This record gives sequence, C-alpha cells and structure tokens, in this order.
Amino acid sequence: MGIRKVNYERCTGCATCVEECPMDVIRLDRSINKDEMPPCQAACPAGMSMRDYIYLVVQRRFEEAAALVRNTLVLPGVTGRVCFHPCEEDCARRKVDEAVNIRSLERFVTDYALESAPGPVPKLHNEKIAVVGSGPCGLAAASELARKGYPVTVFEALPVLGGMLRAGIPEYRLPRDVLEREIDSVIELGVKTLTSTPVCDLESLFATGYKAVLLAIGAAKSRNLAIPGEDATGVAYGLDFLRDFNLGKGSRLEGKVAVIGGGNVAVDAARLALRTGASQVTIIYRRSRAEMPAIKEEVKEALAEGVRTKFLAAPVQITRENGGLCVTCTRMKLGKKGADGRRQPEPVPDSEFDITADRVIIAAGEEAEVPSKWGLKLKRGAITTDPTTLATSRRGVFAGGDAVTGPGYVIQAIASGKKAAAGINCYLRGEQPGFEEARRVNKPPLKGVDKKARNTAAHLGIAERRNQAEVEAGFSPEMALKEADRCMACGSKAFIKYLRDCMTCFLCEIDCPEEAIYVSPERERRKPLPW
Amino acid sequence: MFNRWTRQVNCDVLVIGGGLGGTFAAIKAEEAGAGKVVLVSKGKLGKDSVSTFAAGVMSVIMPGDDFEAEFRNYALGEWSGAGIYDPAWLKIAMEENYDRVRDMESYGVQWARKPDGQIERRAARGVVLKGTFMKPFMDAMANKVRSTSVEVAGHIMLTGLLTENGQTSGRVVGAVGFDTRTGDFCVFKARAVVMAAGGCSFKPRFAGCSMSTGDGYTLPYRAGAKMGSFELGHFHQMSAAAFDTAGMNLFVALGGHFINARGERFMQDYFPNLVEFADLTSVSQASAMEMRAGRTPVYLDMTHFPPASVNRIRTALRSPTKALERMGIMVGDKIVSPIEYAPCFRGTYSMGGGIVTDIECATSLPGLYAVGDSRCRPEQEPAALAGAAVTGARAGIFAARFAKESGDVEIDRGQLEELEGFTFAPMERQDGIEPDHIITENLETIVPYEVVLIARGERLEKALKEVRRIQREEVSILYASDLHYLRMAHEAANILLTTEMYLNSYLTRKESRRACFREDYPYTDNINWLRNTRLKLEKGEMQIWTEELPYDSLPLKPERTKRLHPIFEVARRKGIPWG
Ligand SMILES: Cc1cc2nc3c(=O)[nH]c(=O)nc-3n(C[C@H](O)[C@H](O)[C@H](O)COP(=O)(O)OP(=O)(O)OC[C@H]3O[C@@H](n4cnc5c(N)ncnc54)[C@H](O)[C@@H]3O)c2cc1C
Ligand SMILES: Cc1cc2nc3c(=O)[nH]c(=O)nc-3n(C[C@H](O)[C@H](O)[C@H](O)COP(=O)(O)OP(=O)(O)OC[C@H]3O[C@@H](n4cnc5c(N)ncnc54)[C@H](O)[C@@H]3O)c2cc1C
Ligand code: SF4
Repeated sequence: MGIRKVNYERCTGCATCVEECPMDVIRLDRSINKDEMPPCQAACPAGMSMRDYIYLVVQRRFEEAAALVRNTLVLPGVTGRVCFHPCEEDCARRKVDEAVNIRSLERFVTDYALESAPGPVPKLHNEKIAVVGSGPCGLAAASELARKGYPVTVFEALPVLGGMLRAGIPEYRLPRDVLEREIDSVIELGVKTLTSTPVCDLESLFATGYKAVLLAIGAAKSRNLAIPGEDATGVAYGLDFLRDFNLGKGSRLEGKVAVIGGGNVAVDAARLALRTGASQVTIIYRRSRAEMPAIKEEVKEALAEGVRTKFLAAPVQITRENGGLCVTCTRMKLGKKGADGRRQPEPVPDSEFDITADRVIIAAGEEAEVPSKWGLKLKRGAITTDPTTLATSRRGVFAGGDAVTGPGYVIQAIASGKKAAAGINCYLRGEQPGFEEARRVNKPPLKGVDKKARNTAAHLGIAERRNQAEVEAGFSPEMALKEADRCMACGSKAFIKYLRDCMTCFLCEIDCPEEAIYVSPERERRKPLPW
Repeated sequence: MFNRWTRQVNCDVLVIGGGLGGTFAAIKAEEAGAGKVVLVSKGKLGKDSVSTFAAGVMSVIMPGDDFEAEFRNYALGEWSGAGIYDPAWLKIAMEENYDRVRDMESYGVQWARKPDGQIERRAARGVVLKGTFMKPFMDAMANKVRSTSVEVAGHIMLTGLLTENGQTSGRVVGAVGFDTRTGDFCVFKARAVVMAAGGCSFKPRFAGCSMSTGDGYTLPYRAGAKMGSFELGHFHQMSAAAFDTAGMNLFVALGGHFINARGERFMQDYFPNLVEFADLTSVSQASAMEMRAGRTPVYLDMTHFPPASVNRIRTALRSPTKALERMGIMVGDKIVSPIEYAPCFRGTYSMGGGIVTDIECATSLPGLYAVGDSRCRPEQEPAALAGAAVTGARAGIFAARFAKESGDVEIDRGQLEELEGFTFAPMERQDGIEPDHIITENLETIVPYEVVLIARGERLEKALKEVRRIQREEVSILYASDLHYLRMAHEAANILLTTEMYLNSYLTRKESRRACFREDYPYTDNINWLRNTRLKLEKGEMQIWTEELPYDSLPLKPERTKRLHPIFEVARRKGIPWG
C-alpha cells in the first residue's frame, strides 16, 4: 500500500524524497515547525521571516511577499540594497553550496510590489511622541508607533530626511528615488516630520506636550587621528566629505586622494572620490583586508573600480609640502587577537615611509554626540539604555540606533527602533515588556540537497561607474524565482500528501539520507487482479 | 494557491523525456552540435522514468556473435517478430547496439563482467543474450547529461505539441505543459522535438512504471502523427500477487521457476525449450490457460537459490529486494518461500505500438522524432533498453541535423491559447470526476483475463465501447483540485486514449499472434496478416487501417502458412477448452 511513514525525529526536510518521487506523492510541510526560527531569521536583528516570504515568492505571490516584508520592516528597499545581511552568513545552505541571496530577494519583492506598503492607521491614542533623528532607527520607531495609533513627530536637524542613508551612503548604492519612496511610505502612515529642526533641549519637548521622546540621533561625530597636521588644508573627514557631496554641496576633486581608515565610511569615501574626479585613490589601513570592518562586497567593488590599498600602515603625521600633502606612515604587523576577535596591529620600529596626495580624507571612526545638558548617562560617548526597553536614565526618554551602539548597521538601527517603539508603548500604557525566546531549528537540511549555484544580479561594468548610477541591478522575476527555489525552508518536514498515487517503488526510502522513510510493499487490493 | 506565470524557453532541440532514450537523445544531439538542447521530464532527471526501475538486463550483441542467426531469431522467432519485422531497422538496431553499450560504459555505467573482462551475458527472455548492470544505470546517464551543456527542466508535465500555424499534421515547433510544483505554463519553442516520453503503463499493480502514461503517444496523436502496431506489444507481465515487485527477468535468469496450484512446473508443457525463459506475455497467457483449467494460483519458486544468487538480486535490484525482505520472503541470503504470482497487465512499455518512424527516427510530422517506448516497435529489434539506447542516439543526431538545416520557427498564438486552456481545464472546473476513479474503471475494463489476455471480438468490442463511454462522459469533466491532480488528470486522459488505440488495433487484427490472443481467430495467419495496423487522428476521428509488409523484399521470408497460435496448440493438447 506504499509509503507509510516519515520519521520526524530524523527527517531534516532536505526534500530528497520530494524531488525524487516519480509519482509526486511527497511534499514539504512548511507549517509544521512554524514556531521554530530558521537560522537566517535568528541571525536577523529585526527577526525577518525570510523562509515565509521566500516561499511566497516561490508561489509567484510577489505582492503578498512584499506585504509580509513590509509588515516586519520599514525601508526594505534600503536594506534590500545595503544591508550587511547577517542572515546570509548563517544561512544553512552555506554548508551545501552558497547562502541564498536573501538581500536581492528582499530588494526584488519590495521593488516589484510598490503598492504593498501599509496605509495610514487611525489614531487610537493621544499621547504625542517625539522622535529625534530621521535615520533608520527614528523612521522605524516612528512607523511602529504610528501603526500602533500614536501621533508621532520626527525632528531632523538636516534639511532632508534619512540620516546616514541620505548623508552617508552614496547614491550609487542607494538611489535617491528609492530612498524617497521608502521614507514616503513612513510619512504615509501619518507621521509628521520637521526638517532643519535640531532638538536642543528636551524640556521644551515635554513642555509642548510630548509624552515620550526617542533619541535616534546616530553617531556622526568623526573621531580624529590625533596626529600632527590633521588640520592642514586639503585634509577632510570622511563623513563631512560624503555629507557635503550627498547634500549637493560637494565640489569636484582632482589629483591623488589618500583615504585613511577601513570602515564603510572610508570605502564609500574612496569610491565617491573616484567618481568625482580623483585620478588615483589609495586606502591606508592599519590592518589587512581581512580585518576591514567595511561590508565585504563593497570592499570587493572598490578594488574592482581601481581603488588602491596600503595595508598595515598607520599615519603618524601629515605635512604640506610643495602644494601637495604628505602622509607619513609607520609600517604595522598583526599581533595577538584583541577583545573584538580581530588581530591587533603593532608598529614595526623604524619603518616610516611617505605617501603623497593632493587630498587626504580621514575616516577613522565615528561616535555619538550627546549634548551634556540633556543630562543622560553615557558610556564612551554613547547613551546607556535598558537593554529590553531602551529607556535611558531619564524618565520618558528612550534612545536607539547608532547613538546607543556606536556606528553600526542599518538593520540594527531598524531593529533598535522597533524595540524602542515597543518600550515606549509599554511605558505609555503602563505594561511590562514581554519576553519571547523563540526556539530555533535544530537540524537544518544538510545531506541530500542538490547543489544549485547562487544567482547574483548584474553589476554595472567598471567603465560605466563614473557617475552616481546604481552599481548593482535587481533580480528579474525569473532570477528571483530561481533564487527563491534555493531556499531549503529550514524546519520543514517531508509529508505524505498523495498516498493513493504511491506505486511502491521504494525510491524515497532508498535515497533518504537520514533513513527516515518506511515503505510497505503490501498491495492495496483496489486494483483488480485478472482473476 | 500559486499565481500562474508563463515561462518560455527557446531551443534548437527539445527532448521530451529523461529515460534511457531521452538521455541518449540529449547527449547525442549536443555532441552533434545541435546548439541549445533542452531535456524536459516529469520529475527529477534520472529518477522519473521507467528506465530508472528497469530490472537491469539489456540485450548486448557483440562483435563476433553469429549475426545471421541472431537476425533470424529477431525477425522470425516465435518470441520476437514472428515474421512481422522491418529488415532495415533490425539491421541498424543490431549493429549499433554495442556502440551504445560502449557509450554507456564511458558514462560510468557498470556491467557485470567475466574474469577475462568481457561483459558477462546470459540467455534471458526468449533467447536474447543480455548483459547485466551492476548498479542502477540511470544515475550515470543523468550525471552524464548534467555534465554537458544540455539544459535540464524537471518536474514539468507536457500536455501538447505546437505545430506550424497550429495545423494538425504540420511541422512540430515545440511543446507546452505545466510545472507540477509552481503551476507555471511552460512553453518550449524548438526547431526539432524528440519524443522520448516512454510508453503507457495504465498504472497497473506493478511497481516502477506508473509514471508512464501514454503521453508519448497522445501528444503526437493529437498533433496528427501516424501511429501503429498497438496490438503487437508484450502487454503482460508476471508480478507477485500480494505486493508489487519487479525483477522477474533476473529471478528467472538466476533459475527461478513457476509452479501451478498442483505444484507442477507447467511452463515445461507450454514451452519445452524456453521454459521460464519464454517471454512474459506468453507466460501470462499460459497462466491464464491454467486458470481456465482451474489450476491457479501459480507461484514463482526461488527457494533453491544459493546465497550467491540471492546476493546478486540484492546488488542489482534495490526496490524488489526491499519488497521481498519486508514480505518475509528474502531472509538474509535465502529465499524462504515460493511467491504467489499473477499476470499483470502492464502496458506498452518495452515493446508495442507507438509513433511510426523511418530509420532516422523521423515521424510523419516534420521536426518530430521518436525514441524508445514512444516509438512504434512491434517486437522486432533488440527492444526495450537496447532499443531505447539505439533510437535515442539516432534521434538525437538526426534531430540535431534537422534543427541545423531547417529555418527558425514561430509559435501560433491561437494554438498556444487553446493549449493553455486545455492544459488547465481540469483545474478551472469546480467539480467533476477524479483521475483515480477513471484509472480504476479503465483497469476494471481491461484487466479481467477474458478481455485481452484471452480475447474474443464481442468482449473486445464491449471493452472498447466502455472505454469510449468513459472518455465521452468522464474524461471530458476530469477534475483536479491542485497541481498534483492536474498531472494525474492528464495522465488519466492519456491512458484512456491509449487504451482506445490499443483495443481498436486489437479488434482490427483478425488473427492470433504473440500478445494478440483471440479465441475467435486462434490462428497465426501469415497468408492474410503479414500486415501492420496504422492509425491517425483525422477530422476529429480515429482512423484505423492496415498496411501490408513488402513481402517480396524481406530478406528472410516468413512461411505463408496459417498455424494455430502455440499456446492454443498446447491448450488443445492439454484438453483446456477455448473457442
Ligand atoms: C558612509 C556610510 C556607509 C554606510 N554603509 C552602510 C551599509 O552599507 N550597510 C549598513 O547596514 N550600514 C551602513 N552604514 C551605517 C548606517 O548608515 C548607520 O548604522 C545607520 O544609519 C544608523 O542609523 P541611526 O538612525 O541610528 O542614525 P543616523 O542614520 O545617523 O541618523 C541620525 C539622524 O539624527 C539626526 N540628528 C542628530 N542629532 C539631532 C538633533 N539633536 N536634532 C535633530 N536631529 C538630529 C541626524 O542629522 C541624522 O539625520 C553606513 C554608514 C555610513 C556613514
Ligand atoms: C519494472 C521494469 C523492469 C524492466 N526491466 C527491463 C530490463 O531488465 N531490460 C530491458 O531491456 N527493459 C526493461 N524494462 C523496460 C524498459 O525499462 C523500457 O522499455 C525503457 O526503459 C524505455 O525507455 P524510454 O527512454 O523509452 O522511456 P522511459 O524510461 O519510460 O522514460 C520516459 C521519460 O519521459 C518522461 N515523460 C513522460 N511523459 C512526460 C510528459 N508528459 N511530460 C514530460 N516528460 C514526460 C518521464 O518522466 C521519463 O523521464 C523494464 C520495465 C519495467 C517497468
Ligand atoms: S515508494 Fe516510490 S512512489 Fe511511493 S512515495 Fe516513495 S518514491 Fe514515491
């Protein structure tokens, strides 16, 4: 009578039987462990459920996939482009071949289904909330709170919204129409925004009727190198260079540019410098390529575009000579691993050398800038908060994003904004925040999965990258379908869906890598014998 | 649940089917420089064909064999052509057989070998010399395909052929179907199409063939191709009665034998020379005669097997081994009890009717080539696996040539729309008949042994009438609640149409020859019936006719006599009544 049993203790949902059964008897049950998080979701600071929206893509239900994404996350058009995708680092498929290209799928669904953003929500509460800063943290919190029915106002010091998404990340990685569209989807929820409105003191906010304040002010103060000559003409800080250019105040560069630092700011400054006229750009970094904190793909693109590197070099002095600049560096070597797991650079004695340049851009890290009169408890420049509610030391004041963590990533800022919104809601409603420790899928598929190459969207040819045109293209629907098909839907199990059509061939049992299937050869007497 | 999406692939050669025939066609077409070759099949390549479950023996004719004697066997032998054969084909099949064996070897297929390294052969069914595979060979074939530039498209059920200007009997320019996972409407535009979709199993109680449902016949039939010889297959198989198992060939090759309810080795009466090596249709007919005489059930006895033989079964036959173990018949390296067997109507795979082709595997429709079980092969060549290999390679080469020499093609939009409607119709319906119901009804119509096993005009007519009724009243309102059942619905419709072709051809042949076994015409009639049946769709009707063999040009001439069919002859001697 055919296939009898799938042993769920053993089944990893590798889908060998689903793929192989000639009679199409077996399917994957994707709902069986719905409360167990696949590794990608567990790795995502915002807890995005990739498994579910990717399955909607598989089913060609792109609009629903986009709606699901937007339900968890604001600005998916942004994260779909610039996210550092920790989900892909943990994707179980890496053990089979390569991670699923989750970021491109996210970008695809949100670009494909633009109408999927949720509309305005009726006001349910009258406690006004002030969000200071319109970066991803502020926007995420504003969106969450608006959807809960609160009146929200976002205060932004700059004349434009978006925080580092606008002032930091250049257009060739995040086109401005996309950013605008994503920010609009927040405003459409009924969020009020006030640009060119820096918040200087918190009292006046409370005095004008705001019941809670979220500080999402980012970490925009450039650290200096504390070396002689740092203030020479022709030397600039990376963030200022990027901000000026991104806000339309930049001028064209000429000649050779040296960029000091190994983070995203350094890499973007270098790539932007190339696009704005520099004849040669060199990144000077204390450690080696492997330790660069910048997103790996961006480093790769920068090198492909012709950015040069000088690794294991630490500037000790900048001097101006015959109309140009000279950066004197000490050679470094990598020593023991530090607290952050990266090998620490140590100077090599008497190894100084010079690098000449027409312009020098310093991108040696950023930190938050918190006015002392706000009276908040700080730790190394960042605001200290309660880890679950993100409440600061001051009643009614919450903080999130880079202002709390120091320079981080967009998705962390968004997650933090969501968390702060939940904290504010609990505060205003007098509720206790709940804890939810989700179970994780403990045995993702490993054996028996056929290798399928990862799909990558097209990139602009190097020669065409002389302007702000977006470097990476999106998936076509066909590519998205192909890539979505690579998701193993971790946590699923095989289930016998069409038992009547089993022909007792044993293929599923024989080929199951986990020996989880039992087939009975006994015949169902339904079909007639000749006598 | 799924949103419908249309997916179009343009290629030079489209191969429909991924069995031994289809994989060979794809490999050879690519080698011949066809350009873009796409191979489409119902499931996962290498796992979704009858070839996957073949018992592991294949005819191997080697240089140094007595070619003339073999030729005579194939052409005139009782168990094979019995006089109906195509000499040009037979010669090609025999000559190219060993090249394909060598090809398979180079793709990684392992053969059992003698100590001197030669392929080990033993006499199998009939008197054919067969080699044995050491391991299932389709994995090696599939891997070979994957190592080439052939594009493999799995889990696609094709439902119709596209023709030039949408005309019946026009040049074939592609095929359509649907993705059984996602519901995509799949459109393949091709300069040449190779039909390698196998035969029709009618979904019997016999493992390893239920995915073969006559799609390889009905698609070209509906497009107007000339078909033929549906009555001349080996339709019957012997299978265990209480569970499904394949493997008879090997069981018998290793010395298994049949006994009837009285414990008599009745095969010795029917086939004094071949005994259990008689082909399975004859064995089934003999068993049916024993039934008439009240001496059933029959059993296959392997209890005398030495451990080496039992272990041979283990290594060569994965699925049957599982079944035998689980039924408590195979214990360790012993077979502990005889197995009750019964004839099993298993359909047209291995040998039988199909699309009529010339020696280049070209069909009556320009651009369409036919291979393996989809091809018309009235038991004349080293059939089944060997035939699939030889025709597969040929079709691949000649389809590649056709694709290179012919111009580009265009899809007729009207036909495309019509076929899309046809493809999804069972799912568009709110209600209707389930495929499983139709398949069971069909089996109930043809399986009782007095319908086709021991046939008679009235009984065949009654069955044909019933099959036509089912098609008219039920196939027309097939219902599919999801994509799985959509595939099953098309399969059911194809099975019914194949059954109609089969019964209609059977009725047309007014004699007894091989699987055609009619009480009302018990003679093998070489005076009037050295003919082939042919059929074709014309103006919406199944036209059927016969064509005479070119007797004068046959190199070996069957005697112009009329003799009692050998099984009737034995039954007469044994006093079993018929008539
Ligand atoms: C060049 C660059 C490239 C980057 N690339 C990536 C990347 O590829 N991927 C990634 O994940 N992350 C990247 N990041 C990091 C990411 O942009 C930040 O982690 C993220 O923007 C932090 O969000 P936030 O909301 O906490 O702060 P921000 O985005 O910094 O926003 C803070 C906002 O608050 C405003 N503000 C500050 N003080 C006040 C005040 N008193 N009153 C009113 N408004 C105020 C600021 O003007 C700013 O608009 C990059 C950062 C930079 C600089
Ligand atoms: C149990 C068993 C044992 C056998 N043992 C032997 C043996 O020992 N020796 C021997 O010589 N012969 C044997 N045969 C017969 C032999 O296996 C077949 O004759 C041979 O495999 C036919 O090969 P083929 O390539 O023509 O078709 P198949 O192997 O049937 O392949 C057909 C292909 O077409 C695909 N297909 C079908 N319909 C569609 C559609 N609508 N759309 C898309 N794709 C489609 C299928 O998925 C499959 O991939 C045996 C048969 C069975 C069932
Ligand atoms: S025994 Fe064969 S037909 Fe049945 S579920 Fe397993 S693979 Fe499918």
